[in-house]
Amino acid sequence: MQASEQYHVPASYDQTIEDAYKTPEAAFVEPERVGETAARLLAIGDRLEEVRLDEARDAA
Amino acid sequence: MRPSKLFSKVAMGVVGSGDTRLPLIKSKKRPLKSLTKRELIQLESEVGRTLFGEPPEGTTRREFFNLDPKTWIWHEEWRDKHGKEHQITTRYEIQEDSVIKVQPGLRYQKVEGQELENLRVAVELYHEQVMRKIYKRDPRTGDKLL
Repeated sequence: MQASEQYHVPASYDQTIEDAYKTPEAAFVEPERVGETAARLLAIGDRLEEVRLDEARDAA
Repeated sequence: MRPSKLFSKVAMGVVGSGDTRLPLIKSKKRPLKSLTKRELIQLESEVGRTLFGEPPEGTTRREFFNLDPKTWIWHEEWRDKHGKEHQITTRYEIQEDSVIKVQPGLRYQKVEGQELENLRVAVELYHEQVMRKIYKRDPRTGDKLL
């Protein structure tokens, strides 16, 4: 894969996936890092859920 | 699977027949106050569907959202050149040490390598943008933005 086809987590929140792919920095989940990535995804899911509950509390 | 360049790049696929699709929210401007969790997720999906750039020609609907802390959904509908309608939904189940992709026909597949990285990037972008655009919060701290 060309470096230009790889991507990394963008700095700008306005960046799209397509833009992210154009970022010339390599990133790839090695098999031994799968658990680390899963933990990161779980943490994000937990955070989003927490915010939703918080918004619901504000509304109550 | 539809040969959408972006679709395959971001490694989104398909799944089940559960009611995971969300109806489109019509109004653009509304306070979050009084919205249910499901409605908040609908709003999030409005952001989620924009993360992948312009959808390919023929696409009639696209959704990407976080259903609950352990579940991410990708859904896409399109009409092919013969006018036939198609749809595809993938559910990503996040476990403690792995990610499972669930597709129609009860196919379960471990997500690894490039596909897992694609999903991670999509989720990171989703989190960043949803926190800022929907909840007006700092994605890192969760604090409300002034």
